[in-house]
Amino acid sequence: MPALLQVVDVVQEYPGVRALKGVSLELAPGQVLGLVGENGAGKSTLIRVLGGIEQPVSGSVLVGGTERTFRSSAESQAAGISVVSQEFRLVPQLSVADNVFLGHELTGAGVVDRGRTRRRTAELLDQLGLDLDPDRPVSSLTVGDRQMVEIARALSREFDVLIMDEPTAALNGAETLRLHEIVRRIAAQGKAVVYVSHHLDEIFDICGDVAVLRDGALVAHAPTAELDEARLVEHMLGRKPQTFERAGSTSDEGAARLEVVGLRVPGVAEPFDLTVRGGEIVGLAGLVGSGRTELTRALFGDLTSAGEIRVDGKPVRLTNPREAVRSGVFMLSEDRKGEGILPHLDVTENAMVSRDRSSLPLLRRLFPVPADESAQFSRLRADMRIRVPHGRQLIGNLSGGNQQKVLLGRALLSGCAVLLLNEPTRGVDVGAKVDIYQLIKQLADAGVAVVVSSSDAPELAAIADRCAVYFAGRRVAELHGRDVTEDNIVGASVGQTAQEATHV
Amino acid sequence: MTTTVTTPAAGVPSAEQEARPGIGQVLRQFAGRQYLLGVLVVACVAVGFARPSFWGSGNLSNVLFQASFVGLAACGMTLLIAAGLLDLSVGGVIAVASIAVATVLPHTTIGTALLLALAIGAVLGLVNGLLVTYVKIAPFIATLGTLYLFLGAAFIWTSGKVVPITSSKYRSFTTGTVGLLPVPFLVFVVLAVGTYFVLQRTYFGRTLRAFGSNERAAVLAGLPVNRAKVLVFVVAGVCFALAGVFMAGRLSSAEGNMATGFEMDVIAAVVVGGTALRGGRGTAFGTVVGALLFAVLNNALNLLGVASYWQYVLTGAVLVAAIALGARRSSAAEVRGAG
Amino acid sequence: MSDTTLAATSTADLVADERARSAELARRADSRRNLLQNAGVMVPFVLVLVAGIAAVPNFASGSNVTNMLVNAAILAIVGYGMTLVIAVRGIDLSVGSAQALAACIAASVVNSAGPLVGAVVGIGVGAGLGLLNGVIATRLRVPGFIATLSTMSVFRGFVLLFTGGAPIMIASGGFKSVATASVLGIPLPFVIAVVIGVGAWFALDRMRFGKHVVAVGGSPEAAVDTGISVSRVILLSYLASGAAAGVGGVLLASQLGVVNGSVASGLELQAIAIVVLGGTSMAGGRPRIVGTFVAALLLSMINSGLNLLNVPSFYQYVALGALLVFALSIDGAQRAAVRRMLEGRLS
Repeated sequence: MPALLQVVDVVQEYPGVRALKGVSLELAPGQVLGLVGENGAGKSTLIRVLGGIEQPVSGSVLVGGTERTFRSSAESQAAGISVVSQEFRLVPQLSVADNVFLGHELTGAGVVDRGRTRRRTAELLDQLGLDLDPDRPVSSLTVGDRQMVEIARALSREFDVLIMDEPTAALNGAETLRLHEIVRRIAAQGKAVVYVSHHLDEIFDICGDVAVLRDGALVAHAPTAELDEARLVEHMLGRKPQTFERAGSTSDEGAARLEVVGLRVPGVAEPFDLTVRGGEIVGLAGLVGSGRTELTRALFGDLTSAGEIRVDGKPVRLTNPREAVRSGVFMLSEDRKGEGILPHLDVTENAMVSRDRSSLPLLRRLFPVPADESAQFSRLRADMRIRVPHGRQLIGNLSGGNQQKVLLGRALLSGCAVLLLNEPTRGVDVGAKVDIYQLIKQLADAGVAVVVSSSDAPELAAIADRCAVYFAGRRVAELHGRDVTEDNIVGASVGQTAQEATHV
Repeated sequence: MTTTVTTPAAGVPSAEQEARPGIGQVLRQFAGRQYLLGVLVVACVAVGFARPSFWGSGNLSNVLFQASFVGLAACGMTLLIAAGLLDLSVGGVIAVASIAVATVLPHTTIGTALLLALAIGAVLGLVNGLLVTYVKIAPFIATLGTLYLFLGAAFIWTSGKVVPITSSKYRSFTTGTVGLLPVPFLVFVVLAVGTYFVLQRTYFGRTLRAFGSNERAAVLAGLPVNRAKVLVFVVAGVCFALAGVFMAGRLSSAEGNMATGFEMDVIAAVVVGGTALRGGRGTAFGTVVGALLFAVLNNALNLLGVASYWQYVLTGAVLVAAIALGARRSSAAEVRGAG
Repeated sequence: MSDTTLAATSTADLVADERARSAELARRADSRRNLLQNAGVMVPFVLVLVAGIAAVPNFASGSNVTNMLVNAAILAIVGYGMTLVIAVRGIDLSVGSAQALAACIAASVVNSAGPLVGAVVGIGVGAGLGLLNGVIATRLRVPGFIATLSTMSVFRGFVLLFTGGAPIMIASGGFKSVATASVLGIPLPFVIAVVIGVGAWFALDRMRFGKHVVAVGGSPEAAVDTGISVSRVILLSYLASGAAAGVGGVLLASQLGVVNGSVASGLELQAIAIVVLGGTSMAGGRPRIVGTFVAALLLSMINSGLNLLNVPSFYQYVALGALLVFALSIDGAQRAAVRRMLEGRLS
């Protein structure tokens, strides 16, 4: 059987990083290939290459046996490749129907055939089991529905190969099952599917084969039947999975550093209560769009909210991030590039921007003293194992893990009592991940109250002392101590067993 | 692995490591500046070759005067652009400030008139800053609107007439020379040094560069972004007013139209000097060279007898070319993760 | 904190509840936006209209109405182009200079080769200048506002060089009559503006190009992902803006009969003001042709009223600056309101 899609020795480089180191893959008609790997292993890069959004440095892509170069996503789509991207790439101003057919509108002489667009969209949504008016503007949809609309968009095109990049990150249990059914049906029609997911049970559920990427290289490619979950994880990590030493539950006597009572946040259905003691790490789990990100933002004064917040017993009013930082709360965003690093500034300045200057000598409080700051940074570099040649290096040239360490250094120097972390290890390679977990624990041990919001269940299972799970804007479970396990978190996150997961 | 969060000893061994690349970076930056200086020298030599009268002391001081007017305003603009902002109301601020000086001079001392001009610059800058920061209007368009507001105010104030400056003391103070150098040029150099210091060596300057680089990140880092934004517009307004003070002295008069189109020259000097329009970094030294370069080019056009209308074409074309080149350079991944 | 067993709400209920909340928020945000957008232009429109009729002598006289409609038409046509450019997150500051250059070249060609050739050349010059802006903005990757700020200066230089500072008289009576002719009592330029407006509305609302404009302005990343050529859409928008300035220039030349190098200075400000006042958001993705049209009428009424009241022309500067700041404040307020409504839902 001829391969529908062949990837031959594709190499992709970004300045300073080799994102793909010669990856080769083949896809046969009817095949569902699971693509797995840690964050930053190169999955997204590979998908962007196949989707025509990036052009590889070398290597070739063959569709139906002929070599193709995609200079844009239009060319990739014309070759029969349809991609469901991980980010939400919908135009909020347009209706659902317009979004589904964006780029391949049903037109006559340039005029959009609205009736036909609406009908075809309704059909596609029906297939996906989504009861949605095609005329609704996308801005009115929930995150989960948006994901479904993206899938509908991918299905609306003529395609031979469907690539889905973490399609279930925002879908609940029922929606996920329906999506799996559709994937099977597409495969049965003789098309090929590449399915990227962090949830390994999904991979075993629907994929015939699985390919594992690690550090930009293909390290395994086998039928799923020949693998089990443990082996797969081993391939992904390149070693036995490390079981993180769960610190024996921190003493309950620590003083409450953060107390939240009845905080009302837009987009979250219920008022929010939380108490975090110094030294404690509390996890917030849930799907993308479940409301947990909003909670951390509200606690940081980045979203308007109403309710009572006390830091170290003192009531604070947080209406903007600056007040929050001054009141001893610090947050790191999940979007490190867009909301974390200051790309034109060097690593030293990046680490120093939020420094608490109140206890410094007068001169340093008024003017930054280069000698003092570079000494501070050298200390940070050693403590946090930041791999950077010198303090004048621009932060943009660092790897994700090192950037995150610099940002954690920023948080440390801000002298915060409460640290809010969003997806702390997104886009961070495996080695640095362990470092970052240790740094978070150290910060907690030093008396900081830490709140970690993450979609990575194993991560929370590894570091959180307690974990609240959110679903559709509500808290559906609260896990303590030994119950903070991957299975419990995932189960509650997708809304399967909301009651069972809540351990009494 | 046990690491404590603060180990004082760890800072010591890396100290010499830091020095090495620091020098490399300084050298590289210096080479970058040399290139622009080279262009300036070549331009001077070429113009001098074509028209030897270029080197006449009268002409040279003309060039320096011209460079100082643009340069004084450009110092403020450098701070703004480094912060990812922009102010198109330069011409309006200059007009209002100069008219104020010309109006009050007969009745008061030079010092009071100067202070009044600078205060007006600060207030008009404050208006811009508040519109941009709190009404959240894009800077270039907000200041385009205030340009017309300020110009309108200037015209209304003078009923569209020219206000002469009769104080000879004021004229000799603003157009005098110290040694060979005109007073405004010396003020410009001092202001440029001050701009460098503010931008590189103060928390305020760091905040400017930080939100110029990535505004969301700067806000989330808890920096006083709003305050700094308003303040930088105020500082820039003072710089513009200062330029107006000297321009009025040179012209011996003030009127609403005295600086129309001036914003182009100022922005061009800053951008050609190497301050990236997208924000995040700024070079005061480059601004000095850029201002001189434009003054030499305009002077050359005059000396060569080219129709003055070509200056419009030249300034615009050079500005586009400088930005296009800058865009190309930064697209070569000079700064990853930016823009 | 003790363990809490939550009420046994079913998953489906939670999801349905979230959906309803999301739809409700979006609905409220939309109505808030519409309210601000419509009020922003309609309230001043009605106020100025009533005040004009009540307080300004000759405001509603036939000749003044004709005059206002012709001025509004020229402004509106330029505004349509600007609407398009702003909808793709660009801006065109060079429209005034482009219009002047188109008007002067058209005038000169009318004198040498006849009215029709002159008109076509004028529009062609506008389109060519727009194309140049588009190329600078897309190929050279210069931000639109600075690219057009530069070409504003360059084009103005060209027009001054072209005219040598002297006015150009148009000899052709036929060409001049275009601006004064009327169809069923309505001035011809106004009819042209309405026709072009309907065409622009149709292209933006019903055609593939319009969807692409909204996508590029609303979410450039999404546009790239779906295979839309973003730079082509931006290029075409600048081209359209230049061509619109060209049409405006030809009509202006016809209206004035004499053109010089300094006509249409400050036009960019008026054009931006009416576009933003009309409800097209500076944030991109929301073109509103009808709003632009109404706002053009409004600005034309304001100018005319101030003229009739013999207000010195510099007060018009202030009025225009204030109008622009007002329009932008409404736009800012509307975006802030929508963000407050929706924030928290997009993680």
